[in-house]
Amino acid sequence: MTDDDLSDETLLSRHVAGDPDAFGVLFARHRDRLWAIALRTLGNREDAADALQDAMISAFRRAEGFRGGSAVTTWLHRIVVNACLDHVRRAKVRSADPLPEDPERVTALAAQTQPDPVDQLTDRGAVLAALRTLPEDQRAALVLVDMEGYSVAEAAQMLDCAPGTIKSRCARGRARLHPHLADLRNQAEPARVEPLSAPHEPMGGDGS
Amino acid sequence: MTHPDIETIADQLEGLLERSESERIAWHLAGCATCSATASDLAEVRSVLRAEGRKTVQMPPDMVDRLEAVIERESAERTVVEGSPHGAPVRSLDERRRARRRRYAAGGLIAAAALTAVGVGLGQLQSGGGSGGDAATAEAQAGSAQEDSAGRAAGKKTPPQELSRRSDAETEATDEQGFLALGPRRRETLSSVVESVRSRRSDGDDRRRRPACVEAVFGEDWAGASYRIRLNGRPGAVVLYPTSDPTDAWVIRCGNRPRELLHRNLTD
Repeated sequence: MTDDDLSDETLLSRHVAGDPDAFGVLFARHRDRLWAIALRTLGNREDAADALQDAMISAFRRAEGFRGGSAVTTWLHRIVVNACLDHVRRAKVRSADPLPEDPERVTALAAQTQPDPVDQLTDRGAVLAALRTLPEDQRAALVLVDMEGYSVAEAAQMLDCAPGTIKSRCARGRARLHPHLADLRNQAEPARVEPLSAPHEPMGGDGS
Repeated sequence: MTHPDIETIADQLEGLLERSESERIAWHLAGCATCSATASDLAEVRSVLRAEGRKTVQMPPDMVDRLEAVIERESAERTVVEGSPHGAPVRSLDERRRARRRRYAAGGLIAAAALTAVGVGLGQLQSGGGSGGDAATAEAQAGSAQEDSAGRAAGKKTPPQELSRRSDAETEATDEQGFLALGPRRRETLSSVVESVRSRRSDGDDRRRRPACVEAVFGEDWAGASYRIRLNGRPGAVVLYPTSDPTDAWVIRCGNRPRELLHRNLTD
């Protein structure tokens, strides 16, 4: 039996027992979904990468705390989404520091928000951009409930709040996304790989 | 009546309104084309998110590498290190089993015994000088030194036949089998291994025996000293640079994808 055949629960308990490879197998199995959650909750690669790194270290060290009762994936998603929220809160504390208009910092930030080539290729930017306009609590609720398909009750447990709070955050979040619906509709079309040039700009300099 | 705002309509769809208000909004929606269009837009927002959520997003390869490195570093820091210098002759499986049994017998003082093994192994590199005969002698001395420390530590030996039933895979994997267990103060213990390597370093670097993984990480044209260790029972290396008075130490993972796990400045 190879590691790939083992259940998530078995891998996690082997990890707790000291198996040096088990956590890596678990990570390889679920990394794309974890990345999607971090990217959607935070809206850009750099923050998602940092938050996901924190989350994986936390999951690695606190695996003893997994008590069953929920799926290992739910446990991992909970850690990731909370690491994302922590990341946003810490960033807010930092931005409350003096010198927010430091020109070098502004330049660095501008450089970071260049569109991701991967996002451009898959036309994924519109949903991320729209989600970025929401407060992080609403974003996290929508990522878990609307995008990941968790029930309101599960999302409430993961975010450690009342189900009514999740419902309210989802409702308010959807209301705030309403002005972006036209952009989002394009997004909803079946995934297609577009030419690298923007479709609205005819090629060949036919500008007249 | 005036149109309800979009938040109220969203709350209505989510069932968050009090009964009386909910009935009033439902009544309005039934007769107002504008507001019922807003309601269906909100439902569409939800289904667009759902559709987007179902799309597969692949973690970019650079992120995969970064996070795998993080996981490996965590794994290296919480588990085991066993040392031998890269110039040492390859020990037969039987010799390795015997050595492991001796360390296993040391029980609770495994860490001390394994550190002794690192020290002795490096001493062997210095005294061995590449000659097979000398190295074999050093190996024998190393064995008795381990046995002594194991005997002192445990006061008695576990019967060998009991241990010989364990497979190599099992003995490699478990802390109790005699690898240096890195407990809660993992970093300190790992750095104590580096310290031990450093204090017993050899004066020259034997290029013929430098592990391939060290060259993979540092390049061929490089003049530090490297020593084989085992990380979690798998091959690794401690690297010191420069050779004569090292200022930097690295722990390298060997195997298919060699990479740096830890770098420490020794002058700090």
